[in-house]
Amino acid sequence: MSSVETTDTLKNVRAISTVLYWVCAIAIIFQFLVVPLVWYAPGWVEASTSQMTVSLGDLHALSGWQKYVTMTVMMIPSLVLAYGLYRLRKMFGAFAQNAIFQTEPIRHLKAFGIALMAQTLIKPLTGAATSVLATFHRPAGERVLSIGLSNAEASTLFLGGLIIVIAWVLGEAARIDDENRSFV
Amino acid sequence: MGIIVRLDVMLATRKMKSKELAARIGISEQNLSLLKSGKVRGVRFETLSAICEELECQPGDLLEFQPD
Repeated sequence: MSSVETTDTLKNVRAISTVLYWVCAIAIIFQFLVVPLVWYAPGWVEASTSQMTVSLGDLHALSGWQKYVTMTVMMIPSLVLAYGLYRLRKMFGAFAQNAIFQTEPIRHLKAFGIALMAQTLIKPLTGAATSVLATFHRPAGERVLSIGLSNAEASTLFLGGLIIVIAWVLGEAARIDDENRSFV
Repeated sequence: MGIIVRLDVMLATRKMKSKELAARIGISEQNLSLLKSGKVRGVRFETLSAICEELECQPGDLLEFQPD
């Protein structure tokens, strides 16, 4: 590859990374808004409620401490993913600053992969806790413990694992790049 | 490290400045300075060959091993 092509490729990497840096910011904001939106604008997120372990009716019937605790528990996976997206945003920020084969952005990518896997593993647990909290006010015998698992979780776990392995390989690439740079 | 770089001695013998050698062999002055001070992890054969050609010397004239 000629140096002109390399410069053009790096220019494109910087440009795309700048765009993705801001896309991550929007995604982080969305993660903070998704649970309140489920709560306060159910029609808007109707399509995304198919994997919820409790009905929207049960959620809206909640009041007092149960409402806030349920909302907090429901937000845990979103907060974990928001942290992962924050690290991904930092990685794109580094790429935009031309820090490509460096250990720091690669650490951010690895953290994103871990956050993605953690979020996927936490989701069924918080879903189960949400179902218990949401039906807590019902009489005995009508309370529900519901665990939701789907193919999407398996795919996300696979994706998270893939990202961690890619980050690992990139870490080795960064080490080799560092070694090459110390050769004259 | 037991390897001593004798490039500065060779440059003085040949009355050539670092800047000139760097330009002739196509590496930056900064990298040549690092090489002169021995602050590099390695030297490419390509660089070593270019230096030897410009200074009309052998690799052994540029590098010396001193046991610790």
